[in-house]
Amino acid sequence: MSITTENNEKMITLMSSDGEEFVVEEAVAAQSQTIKHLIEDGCSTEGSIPLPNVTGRVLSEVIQYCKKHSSSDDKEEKELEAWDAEFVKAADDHVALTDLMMAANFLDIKGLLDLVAQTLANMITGKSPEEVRRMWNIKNDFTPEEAEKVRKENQWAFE
Amino acid sequence: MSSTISLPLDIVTDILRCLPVKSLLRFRCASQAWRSLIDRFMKDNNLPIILMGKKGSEDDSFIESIDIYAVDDDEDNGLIQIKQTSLPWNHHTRILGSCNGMLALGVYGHPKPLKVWNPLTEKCYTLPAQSAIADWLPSRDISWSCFYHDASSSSHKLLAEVPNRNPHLDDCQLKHYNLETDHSTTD
Repeated sequence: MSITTENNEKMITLMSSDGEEFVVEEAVAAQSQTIKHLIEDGCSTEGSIPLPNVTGRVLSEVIQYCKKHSSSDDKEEKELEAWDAEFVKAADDHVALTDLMMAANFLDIKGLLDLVAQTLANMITGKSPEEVRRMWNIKNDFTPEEAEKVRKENQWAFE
Repeated sequence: MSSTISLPLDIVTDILRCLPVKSLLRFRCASQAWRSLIDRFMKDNNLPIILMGKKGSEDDSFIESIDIYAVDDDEDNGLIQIKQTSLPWNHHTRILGSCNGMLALGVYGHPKPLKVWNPLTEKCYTLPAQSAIADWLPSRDISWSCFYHDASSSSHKLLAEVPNRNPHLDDCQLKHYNLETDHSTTD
């Protein structure tokens, strides 16, 4: 379904995994390479584009990001950086950020992926391997001997 | 507090890219999958490292151990020591050169005179005893040598100045050795 707004912007509808619909300008949605290719392949002509991997809550955040980044030009770089910083701050914890990162990965939005990756990296930089395991449910599958060996190989990194 | 969200491995690399070296090395312990991802990431990205050789004592003529440093902007002096390791042979090892984090080691009086060793992974490759280098490398009189990667032939080469045994010729000759083809030439 394609509709046009007063200023002649082509609109498309995105549907989240939980059935929420978002009507956005095509130029905004096309920040996502995945959506851009779907549009090029003619997948948007009938009905809405389903995004089975992204929930409505995450998709609305992604759209916020894409709107901001499609309306800003290079002159506003400083302002955009500040906006990005606020944007990831609002995501608040690593669970929300991980959701956002998975969506950015699936939708192929490089700027957003890099932004969230950097935020998560900053979050874990000083953490211990145990803390990182807890954050993402990573199973420690080393035998005690292996664990000791790997730890010894990089003893410096623990001091 | 245990989390219920998991991080798909295909996006872990995007986070690794943003981490300082010290954190990368520490997180090798997280799990087997993380360790292999980090090892592959460090290899693919060719993280710059600096190798520093240390003698056992002041009057020792041979290097005994190697300290490995990585470039890390988060540290005050821009360097972080990531490992200290001993040479795989205690005595009579001469470092002939280094290239891409690997050291070419000449071992005197040994039937297999050339070894290429990666101090970071501690993997070692020993050249066969019958290699084309066997007749000149064990010499203690190599005045200088250099180990490098020749991009044009995509092979590793050793260049050394070796004293000439024939008194009618110049004092020294330059020897080139290609590790991939086991071919030795004299300039």
